[in-house]
Amino acid sequence: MARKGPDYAAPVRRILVSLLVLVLLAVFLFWQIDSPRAERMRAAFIDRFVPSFDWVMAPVTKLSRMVSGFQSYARLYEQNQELRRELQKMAAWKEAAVQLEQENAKLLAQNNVRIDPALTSVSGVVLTDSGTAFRQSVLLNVGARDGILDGWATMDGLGLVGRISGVGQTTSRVMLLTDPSSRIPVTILPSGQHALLTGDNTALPALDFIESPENLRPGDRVISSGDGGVFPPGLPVGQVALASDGRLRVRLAADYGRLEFLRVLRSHPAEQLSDTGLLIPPPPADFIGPPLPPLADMQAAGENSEAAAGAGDD
Amino acid sequence: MIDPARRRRFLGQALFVALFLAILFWRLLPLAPGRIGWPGPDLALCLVLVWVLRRPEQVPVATIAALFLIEDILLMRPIGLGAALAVIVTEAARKREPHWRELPFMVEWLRVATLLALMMVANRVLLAVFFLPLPPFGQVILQFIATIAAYPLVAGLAGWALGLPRGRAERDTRHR
Repeated sequence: MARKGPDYAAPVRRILVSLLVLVLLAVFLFWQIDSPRAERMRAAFIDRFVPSFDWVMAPVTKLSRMVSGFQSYARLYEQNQELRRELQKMAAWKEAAVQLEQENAKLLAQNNVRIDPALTSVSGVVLTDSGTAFRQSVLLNVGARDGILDGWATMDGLGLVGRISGVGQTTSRVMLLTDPSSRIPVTILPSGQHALLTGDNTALPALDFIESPENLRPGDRVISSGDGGVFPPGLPVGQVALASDGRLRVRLAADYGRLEFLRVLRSHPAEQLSDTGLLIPPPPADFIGPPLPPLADMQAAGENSEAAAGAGDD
Repeated sequence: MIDPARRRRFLGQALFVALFLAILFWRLLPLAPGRIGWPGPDLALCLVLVWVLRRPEQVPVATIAALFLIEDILLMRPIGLGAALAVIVTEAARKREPHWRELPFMVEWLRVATLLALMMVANRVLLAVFFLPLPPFGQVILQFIATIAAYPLVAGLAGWALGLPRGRAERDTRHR
């Protein structure tokens, strides 16, 4: 140690510490300059080390969930009453759902619709939390090995949860909709307006860039709009809610706080119409006017007219 | 044979690393993934400062840098920035540790709070300079308050359970 050594040890130590700080700041600058590469290295590091601690994480997680499950026994009576009330409401909803299902089947049969087969999914288990209160993300145990790509949408059983940001070989990180840097284009349904769902590290992400907020009401359905081409359109996100600060926010449909199994939707980018000029080909340059009919048509037309003339002779 | 003082130093360092990693893994456990709670105290930072102010020879600066670099990587923070700030803060504490040792605990607590506040401000200024997204100010303040509130608890626990009381280290070094 430096303090036991002779006189020159302290300055040497000071220089070494300054060098260490400089190296760390250089690492930070490298992250700042070549962010994609640094993030790939981070994903590779997490991929290498975090799954190997699964054996210690899984039992502790299970145990703490069991404890919290045990605590909920204390509220058993209240929960029972609550469930009875909800069951009564559900009976009415079930009737409505059956009617809607019949109507839906009828309409689908009339339209001969096939639901998009491109929308398949990969399921994964949540490995770790983000570990800090300032970022909202989870780590899944599926990765590039399972064909996961950056930007794919992730759902739990109920609604959109977030999108993939960062893929390792066997793990991938899901940035949740509540993360401060999450921006998702959405459509608000009865009015059909477009908006941007902006996470701000609160439980209810905000709606930005709404054209006419007076047309929205709390309770309107919010779905993903598919603008930008990465997200499939029509995934349920949640409901509009008016927050106490007067902003329009979204109460998320996904069961945040109990994300255990997530589905990553394989989405393929929609075909882009980049050049509208190709849709209507320009006429050939050497001839101005309506194009000539093809030769075969002209001959057939000639025969027809001859036949017609012959018929006229009789 | 291994020199007993050296062995004690090595064991203390191993214990410190194990505790730091345990705190980190506790934070990563998916207990309620997706729920947005209160930003709790930064226990790892408390632990490092407590240890540096009790047994500075057991926490070499390279260990601190490596551990905070791992924390930066796993917690999705800007890589290297948190580690650099932690090294600077612990070096500042380490330099003043012989003077602080004779003062009452309240003074140590106050000075640790000042150091942590400076660290928070430096972190925020650097993030702003590099146009990185800033965490919400209210939550950062909450975490700062929680960390300061947790410092005496960590110090007390370290003194009671791990045998790191204030003052004894002083006698150890004096009479060596």
